[in-house]
Amino acid sequence: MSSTTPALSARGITKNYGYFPALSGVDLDVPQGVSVTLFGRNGAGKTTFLKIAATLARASSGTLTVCGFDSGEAPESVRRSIGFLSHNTYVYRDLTPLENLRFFSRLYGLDQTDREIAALLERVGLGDRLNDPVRAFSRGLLQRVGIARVMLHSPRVLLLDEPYTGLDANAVGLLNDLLDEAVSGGRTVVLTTHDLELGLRAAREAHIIDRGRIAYSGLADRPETREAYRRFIRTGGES
Amino acid sequence: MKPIFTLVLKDIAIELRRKESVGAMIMFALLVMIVFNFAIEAANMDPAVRPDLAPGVLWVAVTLAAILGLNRSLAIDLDNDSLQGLLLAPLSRGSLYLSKVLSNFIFILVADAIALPLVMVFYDLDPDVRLFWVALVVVLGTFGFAVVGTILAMVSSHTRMSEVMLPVLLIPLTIPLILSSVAATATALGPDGEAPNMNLIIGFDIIFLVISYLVFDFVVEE
Repeated sequence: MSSTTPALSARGITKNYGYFPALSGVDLDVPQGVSVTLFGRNGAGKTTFLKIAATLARASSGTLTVCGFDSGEAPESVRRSIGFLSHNTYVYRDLTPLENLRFFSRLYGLDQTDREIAALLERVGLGDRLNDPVRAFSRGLLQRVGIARVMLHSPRVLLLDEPYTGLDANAVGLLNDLLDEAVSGGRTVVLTTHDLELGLRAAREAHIIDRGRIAYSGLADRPETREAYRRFIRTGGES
Repeated sequence: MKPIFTLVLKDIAIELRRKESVGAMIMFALLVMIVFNFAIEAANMDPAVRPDLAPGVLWVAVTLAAILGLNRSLAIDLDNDSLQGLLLAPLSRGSLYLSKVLSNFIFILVADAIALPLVMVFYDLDPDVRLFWVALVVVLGTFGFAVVGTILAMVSSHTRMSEVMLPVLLIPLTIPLILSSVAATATALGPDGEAPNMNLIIGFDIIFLVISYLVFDFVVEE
């Protein structure tokens, strides 16, 4: 992938659930090595867009590439390039954090030792819970296992759908540190959140999705972005 | 092949911890055989015909136990939406399907391994060389159930009342498999102990394995 290839590029993405249009022609380019935040009200299409980018859903029309790989033609290459985290952590409750990560490590064809996996779990604050069944974990601890799962294969693009849900202040700080580190290491972060401050904290660009379309795009540190957020999220684009 | 075995080992590890699927299948198969035994006793049938009933009872027990196990098989992956985690891994959907077929096949085979000796005891069958052919029919028939049942379990998991939907879809589709398995088992247990014709069972297994492998992608994606 050349340095000018967008980390994520969407052209005319539409997605219909029956007669309901979840996305109606989304065009978006996300450069490499930056953090981008997608805002939008519930049902605006943010999660659907990320699921299409993660190859968990199929677009009704349009093309989407991640790190230059077409999600329709090379889905396995796309999946190898991304880490996807939502409010569901996708880990197995019957396994311990160490067993979960060992399983996903093998699934990704990685040669990680238990020591390396334990070090990753240590970083997300689970060093003393390595061998406890995940079933006994609180929502916040579960999300930490999910964060470790996403970081396991050092993906070039992180797709995070409401990753702060259920996290306490300590865990939010931890996630922010990991995301900052990822971006400074040249990785790309695409994040959805309802929290304006968390969303704008480290983002270079902000986009607002409204009724399945990109309604606003701008630099995160511009006052217009906050005004657009107020207009589209708080008042539903009415004023 | 490595990811497939990784997935199968994960299913086995979780099943050993939960003890839900295989235990329920064994108990259910046992109950089916006991109920049939009582019914046959109550009917005052000639004891000489009991061995003739064995193939039918065996496959009723296998079919019903398999449905129970298949209904539970996806529970491991639907809890906490873990299936999505598997779908995010860089492996083909077909590999995911094959791993699930293999896991289900192993779990149902364990139940079969308990059910088959019980049928032989309940229906006065002599364990002799014919057992090889019976076991082969059971293995091939069970594989067919795992092949069709895995994809239909996935389809029915997207519906309301999924536990009802699976048998409603599975039983009609597997009637050729059930009939040919019963016939092959009866031939193997017959007085001549002939090698049964298993062409239909093998054909069923191959055709549905290929079709299911190809369409699994569309079943799991939104």
